[in-house]
Amino acid sequence: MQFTSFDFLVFFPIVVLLFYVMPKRFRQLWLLLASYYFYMGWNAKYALLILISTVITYLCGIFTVRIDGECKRKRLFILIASLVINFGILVFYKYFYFLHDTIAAVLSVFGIKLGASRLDIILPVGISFYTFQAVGYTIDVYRGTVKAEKNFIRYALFVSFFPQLVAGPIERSDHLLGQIETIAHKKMWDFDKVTRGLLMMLWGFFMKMVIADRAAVLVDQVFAIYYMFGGVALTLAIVLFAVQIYCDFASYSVIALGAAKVLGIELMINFEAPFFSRSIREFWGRWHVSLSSWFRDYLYIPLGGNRCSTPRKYFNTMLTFAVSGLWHGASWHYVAWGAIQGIYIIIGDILRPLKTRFQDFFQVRVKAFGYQFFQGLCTFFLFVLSLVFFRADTVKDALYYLYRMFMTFDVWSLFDESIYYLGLDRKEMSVMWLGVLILLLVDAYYVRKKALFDTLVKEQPLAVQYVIVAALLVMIIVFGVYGEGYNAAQFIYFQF
Amino acid sequence: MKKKKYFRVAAVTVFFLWIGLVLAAANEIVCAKFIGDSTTIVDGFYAEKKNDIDVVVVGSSNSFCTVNPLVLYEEYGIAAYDFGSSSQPMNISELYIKEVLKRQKPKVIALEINMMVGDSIHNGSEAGLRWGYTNIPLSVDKLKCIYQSVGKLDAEYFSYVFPIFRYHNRWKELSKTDYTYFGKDKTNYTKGYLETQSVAEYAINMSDYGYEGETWIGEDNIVCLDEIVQLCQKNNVELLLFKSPKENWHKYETKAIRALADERGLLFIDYNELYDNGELEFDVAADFRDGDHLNDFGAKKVTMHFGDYLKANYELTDRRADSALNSWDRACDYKRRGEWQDFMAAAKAEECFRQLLEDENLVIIVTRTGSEKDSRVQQWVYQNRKMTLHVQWEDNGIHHMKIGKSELVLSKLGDVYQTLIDGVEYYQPESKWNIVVYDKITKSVTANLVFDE
Repeated sequence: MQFTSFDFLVFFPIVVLLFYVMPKRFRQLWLLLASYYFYMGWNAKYALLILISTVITYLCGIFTVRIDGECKRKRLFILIASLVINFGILVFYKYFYFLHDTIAAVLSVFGIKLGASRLDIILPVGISFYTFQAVGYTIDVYRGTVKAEKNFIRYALFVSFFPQLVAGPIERSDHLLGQIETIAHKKMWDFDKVTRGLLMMLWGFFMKMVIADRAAVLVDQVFAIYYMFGGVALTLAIVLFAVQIYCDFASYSVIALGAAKVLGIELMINFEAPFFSRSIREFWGRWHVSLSSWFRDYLYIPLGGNRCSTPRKYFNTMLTFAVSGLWHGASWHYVAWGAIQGIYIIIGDILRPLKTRFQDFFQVRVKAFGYQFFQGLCTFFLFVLSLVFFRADTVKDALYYLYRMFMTFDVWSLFDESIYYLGLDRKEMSVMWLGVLILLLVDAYYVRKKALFDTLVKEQPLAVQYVIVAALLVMIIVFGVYGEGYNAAQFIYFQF
Repeated sequence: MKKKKYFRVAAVTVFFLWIGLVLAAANEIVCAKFIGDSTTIVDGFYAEKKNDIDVVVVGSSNSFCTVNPLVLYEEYGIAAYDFGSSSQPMNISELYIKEVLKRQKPKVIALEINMMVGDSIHNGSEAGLRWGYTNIPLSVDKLKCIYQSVGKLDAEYFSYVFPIFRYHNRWKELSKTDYTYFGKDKTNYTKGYLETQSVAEYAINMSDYGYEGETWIGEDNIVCLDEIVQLCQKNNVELLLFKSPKENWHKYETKAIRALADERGLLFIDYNELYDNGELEFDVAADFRDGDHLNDFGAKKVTMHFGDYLKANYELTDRRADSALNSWDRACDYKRRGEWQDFMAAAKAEECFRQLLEDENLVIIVTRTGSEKDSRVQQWVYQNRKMTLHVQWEDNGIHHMKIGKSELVLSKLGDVYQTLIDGVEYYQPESKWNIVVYDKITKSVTANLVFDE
């Protein structure tokens, strides 16, 4: 089920209520059952895939520990077996068509025709998230950085914990497993923590329903027929797509974080005000942190990371980002999007000495607000440009989109009201920008205090806290994009 | 520690009260207002004095477009109220009757049975449900009834319980009424009846009544009827069934309903039948608003017959004999004030003024425009039959005062004179005399007259 569904509105309070009233020893099992029920709300059959992944990685962990010190090759074999099976499932369900089409395209160059696939594969929701989490655990056990979990229920809950099951954050075993262990014997109820969790959930719903889903209306409309629009519309659409994708991704993480907090469990912060970054490298340290750090720890560093020759380092960067792109979606335009991030970082690296000399020569005050704002703007602009590759259907579409964006940019169309005919009228647009303004304030607070929305609210006097909650709640309910649209004409036939 | 605990309990309680209040206000503002239909009918019903109504008419729009309670009162002294909503399924009619019995002790409940035919409960339109449910207060009966309509506990069900979730997208089209409605006096001066004098563009065809055919009445509709019968019996209320005149109603449908009524010992009047056998005459070209609904002319004819029938079959007190003014007296007065009145026909300002002065509920604003001899403009304001202001304008300036619930401003700025009531300009300088009449009862300007002498 989705966080923004009616089912979740019923499901979550029941889970929380029973969690706190039942004997402690049943809590892990209860959350496990709840997590599987949550997942099965999408596709009951695919819960089996989580179970398979859980059993394999659980057994790998147990066997790895058992043969600890006996034979390094055996342990490596177990690790590789776990990786092959888990990634095998992921590749089959997520990348089958992508691989099929790519191979078919390559073969067609040699005149060989590959028939269309007869398989009908539905992508299991959240497979990329829980696979990475389970695989991360196996690697940690292999490395000896965490102990293998012997309790299957506890481990199964670690893989399937419902708040972060389908959209992250991708948790680390050393962070989450220990917390799961404590819920069976520790007093979990903490009024402050629960209210903070609820505040985070409220903020997540605001981001998702008021901002992300509203921006999506314009973005979807423009991207569907982008070739009919001029530069201003295309720029607006891609800027709003940046807002949409951030609020969409981040809101799920924030709701997950809040929901877990209500249950007394702390999840990692996944988005750390990324639009306040002043370089692409910094951006990737703030954007989808759990994924970026996963790739850093389990791919980039094993490849050699920074401690190798410059060309090799650049290769590692490019490969990591290309794979990261592919993780986001099974298509070449995602790979291109990832690769662009790598290119940005490499160019940034190459130009760094030049930039330093420039700053020295012109005595640029690098700590001045104006300069830092300019850096932030440039970073945002570069990221937005790359997003065209993320959102477009193909690389070809992305290139033409960018071409039109720059070549047909008519600044006057900003003032002729035409932007209000792209899916969001003037009132909708006002709410959109109001939402973005609130978002920027909350993110600015994070940058200044390294604290999230819950702390921002809790710092206020009680009366102000109540006003903030009421205002946010009303905005979500009234301005939220959900349910059927209201069509007065449908109700015109009254009095009859 | 204990103190902290008490504080926390108090803080949480205050929080939930506050959130409840805010959401209730948001709900009131955002919900669609079906003015003239269920919103004002339902709110008007709850604004009625408890245990004051003798006859309640329940049903779909056929009910509140047919029986005019003010005619019933003026002609028969019957205190009635039309408590219906458009396209009202039978289970909502039952809910409305339950609501009636919670607040009133009527002698008769008249149920318009248009929605008995077919399966109104499960095949009703969303609009019909919205009209029916939106303004009814939350209760266990309402929750059960919604469940019967929706059939499951899901988001749709939830949206009937808390209609803000359905109407939230109205935020873009909110008008002043949406913000001010909940603070307004909810008295329904037509007693639920929908006034209209519009006439159908074509002559209504009532001649198909005799066509042969078969009808089907849904099981659940019959169950609802039985429950309504039991409710009425339990509360010692007489239940009367009736069918308003309309196109495409047939004898076989009447026969089916009559069979149900007879089985349950209920009285049933079919106005289509009465028209068909010549007992009641309609002008099919003038008495209908459309094929399904009467206008004021047709409703008066039916209501007169309905009044005779009620008087003949039930013991209903003539409420015109009440010692004090009752709400039907006030409603009739309200209606009269909105209609043509004798003072409007006066030829001279003085004659008009004298007639107006007889009514203490009128505020009279008289302006004498300057002439060649005396260019000064003079203004008088009369309230409670007394002059409360006289201005002989020489310099620029303003005078303002409260008249009823409105704000009156008289002003002069250079050669421009204004008579503003709630910011709306009424002054007509073309003639020598201008009389603006503000009615404190209807809280509106009822006339803006000019006279040369």
